[in-house]
Amino acid sequence: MKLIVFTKKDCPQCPNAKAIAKEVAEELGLEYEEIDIEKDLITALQFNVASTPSIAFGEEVLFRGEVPTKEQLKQEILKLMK
Amino acid sequence: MPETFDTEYDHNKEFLTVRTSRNMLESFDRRKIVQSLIKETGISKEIAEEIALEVEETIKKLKLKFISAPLIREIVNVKLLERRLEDARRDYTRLGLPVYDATQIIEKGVRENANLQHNPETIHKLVADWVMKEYALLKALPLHLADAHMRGEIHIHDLEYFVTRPYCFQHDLRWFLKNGLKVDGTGENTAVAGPAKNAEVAILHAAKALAAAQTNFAGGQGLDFFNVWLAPYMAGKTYKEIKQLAQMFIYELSQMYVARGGQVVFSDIDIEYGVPKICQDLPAVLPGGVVKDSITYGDFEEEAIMFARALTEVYLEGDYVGKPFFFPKPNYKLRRECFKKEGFDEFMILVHKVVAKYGSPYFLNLLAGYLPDNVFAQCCRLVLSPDNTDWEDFKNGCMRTGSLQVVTINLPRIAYESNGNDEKLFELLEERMKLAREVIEIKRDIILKRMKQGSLPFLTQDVNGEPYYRVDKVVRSIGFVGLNEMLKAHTGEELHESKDAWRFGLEVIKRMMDIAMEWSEETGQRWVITQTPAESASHRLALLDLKEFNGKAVVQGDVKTGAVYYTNSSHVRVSADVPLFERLRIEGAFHPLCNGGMMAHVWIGESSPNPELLWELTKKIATKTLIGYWAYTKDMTFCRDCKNLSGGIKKSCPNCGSSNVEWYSRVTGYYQRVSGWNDGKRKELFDRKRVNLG
Repeated sequence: MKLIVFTKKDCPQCPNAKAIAKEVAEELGLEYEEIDIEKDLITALQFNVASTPSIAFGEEVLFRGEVPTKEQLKQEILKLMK
Repeated sequence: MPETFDTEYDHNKEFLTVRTSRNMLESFDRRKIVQSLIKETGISKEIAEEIALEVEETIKKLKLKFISAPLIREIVNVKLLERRLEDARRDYTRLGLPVYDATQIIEKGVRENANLQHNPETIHKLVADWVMKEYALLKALPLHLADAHMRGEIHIHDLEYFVTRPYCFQHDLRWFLKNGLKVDGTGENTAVAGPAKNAEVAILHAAKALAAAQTNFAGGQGLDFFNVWLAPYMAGKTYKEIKQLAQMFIYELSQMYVARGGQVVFSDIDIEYGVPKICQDLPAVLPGGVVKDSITYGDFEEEAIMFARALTEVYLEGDYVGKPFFFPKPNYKLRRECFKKEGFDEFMILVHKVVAKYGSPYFLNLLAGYLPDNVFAQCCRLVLSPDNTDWEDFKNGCMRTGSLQVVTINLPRIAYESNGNDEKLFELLEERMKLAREVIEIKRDIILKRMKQGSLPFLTQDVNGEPYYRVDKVVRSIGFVGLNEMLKAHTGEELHESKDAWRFGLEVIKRMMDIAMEWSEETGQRWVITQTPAESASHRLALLDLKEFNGKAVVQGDVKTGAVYYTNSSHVRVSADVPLFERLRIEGAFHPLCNGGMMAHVWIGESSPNPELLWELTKKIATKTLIGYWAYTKDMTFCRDCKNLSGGIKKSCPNCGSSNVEWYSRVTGYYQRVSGWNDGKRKELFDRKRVNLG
């Protein structure tokens, strides 16, 4: 399953969210993807995401419009992987 | 025009006596026909005289026992048509309804609007509506737009008010609290009230402001931050006193049966848990209309919470016989900051007790991440995000906006006409939107004209040098109906049947939003996309398409009986067997694209869910989906004999067995008696897939 970060231009928290998500993806051996919601709004909407930064694992959105800590993100992913 | 006939010209008075439209008996005088033809149609004197002579001869030949001015006019119209003077005939014709239809309205009423009871006021309204609708289609709109409505390509809402009133409005109670109230807008026909000095009067002013405004608007009237702006008036009062005030307000708005021809005001109040951060530093309007910089709304947090609680308890209790209050519709705003406030959970459990008992509350979701802090909801589903100038108004104590007019696009029709061709489909979509735009631009000119003519006095009141109603600040709403059936006809799959169909549906609505945004930039006006309530449109358009595209039309309901309907806006088909969250996920994806209003429904049938679990569900909807505005709809059966109210749609009362029952459910964006619903909506009610939360 993929770890997806939803971003957009001029989003102040997005670089932070991307860095954390990338690190977690590497640690857990997950595929990683970024989706710019301004360029591909429809895909974001199908994830029920309209704010940035948001992070989804597979089809499940874990955080919307907020940046989790690395531990929080890992914890949520592991819960779903069980 | 006065249709009288000169008595001094008496060549035929012994046998031609005319019953005039001024209720007088007068002698026939063909010069009056000549004069009226020239005045009303602008045709030449020669033709007018020729027609008048012919009419006189026709009347003589017919040897009629009864001659009336309307009858003469009908004959004149035939003569105009015989000369191919169709435009002149259009200007000269009378508006009105056949005797048979007038009798039906008087004796039976109609079921086009579920809010209309059959009573003397609504009979007058319906007769007047007929004339005004005809006037709009015949005189105010050019033929191609009137025909686009009649053919069912578009649906122009509230046609009966098209030439007289804008659609709906959101008021700022602070302005009335600070300046007092002139219910007629001028103070010349009615008494003028100064700023309310105590809570009772403030409550009455709030109720009367909405009732007064309703006389100048076709649709809903809302009050945002209702409990916040009134909180300073609750200072020093006990909870019991505050609850009495809450009860007074809700009874006022659910009992004043006076608006728009014998209906209650279509009203909304937005309720906050306490004073939101955006209001805390604003100087408060205090009793007597006094404003001091040192006293802000943040000083009345406790009162705002007490008032919110009191209002909610009144909704929970219902009316004297235990029925729910349908109006004012309570909109509860879900803000992230509320979760940090003490008592919020307990308050929301109380709100969900009302949901479980009556289904009355509506939820406006600020947790979805795309609605701003001062968003509001009103009318059937108008959810508007204010712009920068609205923020200025908000700070200055009179934020006000609304929708000028709604025109709905019949989406399935576009699919039938584009025969599976994507390019053609998007081309037709834009073409239909342009028709809607033309209609709304005409409406704008009409409303500006009415304001100049002084026939919208509540709207032309002065607010710091500007009229209360600013035509170019309200939104122009373009709605849509039947995305689900459009997808079925175009892609072969319904909205919930595949991710591709869902995606294509999103592309359609996004295209609509993009066009609306382009128009906003181009015109400097606010064009928005809205999920039309379509209370009558979904039935009317499905019927028209069935007739026009038989064999191709995809409609819901019963084709044999004509109880057909289109699925509202971008909703999943109501009868689809889709798990609740899947439905909300699909529908929620459309909400950020509908910047002029959206609504989702959770049909809970007859169940009375546990309020605590229901609150958990609300939190999940708010945080996991993009649903911006929704309500739980509980169906109810009320026994007219023993006054028992029970959950569900039942043929007889479970308490006393009587079959003398009335059903209540949410027709679209509001609750009403099912007996007032049209055949399509009734069928939809029985098709709805309920979720069992029992």
